[in-house]
Amino acid sequence: MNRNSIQLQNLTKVFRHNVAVHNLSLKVEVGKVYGLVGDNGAGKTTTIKMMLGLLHPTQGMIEVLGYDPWRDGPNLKRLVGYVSEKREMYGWMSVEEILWFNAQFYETWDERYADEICRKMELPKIAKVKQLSRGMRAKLALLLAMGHRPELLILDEPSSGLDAIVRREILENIISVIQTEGRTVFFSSHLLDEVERIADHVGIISRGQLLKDAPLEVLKEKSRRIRVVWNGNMPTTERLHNVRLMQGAGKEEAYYTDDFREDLLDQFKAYQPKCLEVETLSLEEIFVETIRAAKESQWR
Amino acid sequence: MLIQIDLTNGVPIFLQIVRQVKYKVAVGALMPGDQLPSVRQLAGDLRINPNTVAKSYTELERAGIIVTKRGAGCFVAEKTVIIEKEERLKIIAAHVDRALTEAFHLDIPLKEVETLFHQRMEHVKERSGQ
Repeated sequence: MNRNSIQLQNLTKVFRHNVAVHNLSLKVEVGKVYGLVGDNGAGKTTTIKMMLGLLHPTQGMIEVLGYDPWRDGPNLKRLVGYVSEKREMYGWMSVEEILWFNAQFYETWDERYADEICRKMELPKIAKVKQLSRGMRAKLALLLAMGHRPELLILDEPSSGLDAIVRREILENIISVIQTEGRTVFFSSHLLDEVERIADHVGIISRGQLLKDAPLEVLKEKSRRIRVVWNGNMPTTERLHNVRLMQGAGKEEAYYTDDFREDLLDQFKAYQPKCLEVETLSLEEIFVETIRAAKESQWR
Repeated sequence: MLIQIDLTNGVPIFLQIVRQVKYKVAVGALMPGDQLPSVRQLAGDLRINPNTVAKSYTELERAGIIVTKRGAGCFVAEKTVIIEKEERLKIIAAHVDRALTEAFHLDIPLKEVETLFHQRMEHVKERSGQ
């Protein structure tokens, strides 16, 4: 039995002269929830499309549920549920029709389960898909991806552009999938509070490169903001190691570190500051600092 | 059991649950023998990963705050009295620490803080008529 649902190794995708994904490697363990976060155009959708066999990688290796997505597409698709960013669906069908239509592709389609979700999400069965609101369409797209009880659910920005109520429903449904043992979820998002709620493991991607890839807990455990108020004499930033200046206003400064240890504070204490405080960070702050650090090192 | 998740303060979610349950036990909002919601239910209510809830329950069990009864669920432990006192003191200690930090920033000597503390104690005693 394979312990990883997804395994990407040195994955690269080049469109003409544009490197969309660069040398990306990651693993997703069976039963875990992986959240891929990144700014717009970071390479999230390209990565997902390669995992589904919708795009051919320029270089690298992909294995999803033991299959090579490009070669074994049809076999893989039976085991995966996918909601694309654009949530394309046939607009002229009614909800009932599209559910029936979708069911024909899957031997494992569970009609009772689909009906139950449909009722819970209050989807109007007789309405035409094109008449549905954006929120309803998003819910329907998720239902179509869940109805065959897939081993792996892949969601590309499942709740972007939706109101708080719909986002909540979508999240509840994703959680209900996680509740079933052994189901794996891979999702991309730029809504960091959502990722913080449900992800076990987080990847931060920017300009096609995976900058961080760690269990959410570890990421939070190691990231800290160090606030300091200097007492007359203060060091130049270059003299402080393994920390990065976040903000500074005169004697007051805030530093960021992604590898916190108590002895990191010794170099601050050496200057006998007036005040020295260590604070935990939200995922959003960690994300912003990670991206900023990457951009700065590119300039150097 | 009402738990509030705050995603802005940087404290890991599992730790927020652990702290709030401890607090509830300490102040008597949860009594020995009370049943906690199942992992599944709490994860659904809070819209968080069930693994996170499971992790906080494991931590609470390790700390002796709750006990798991096979097939029945999680319950507040019967013997939480000692921990209860400890927890209560910890909560107060945190408040005292905050006041001391503030005093330090405002350049008030510890000796004066001590005097102030006794003054306030007298004040509270008078008010409560003791």
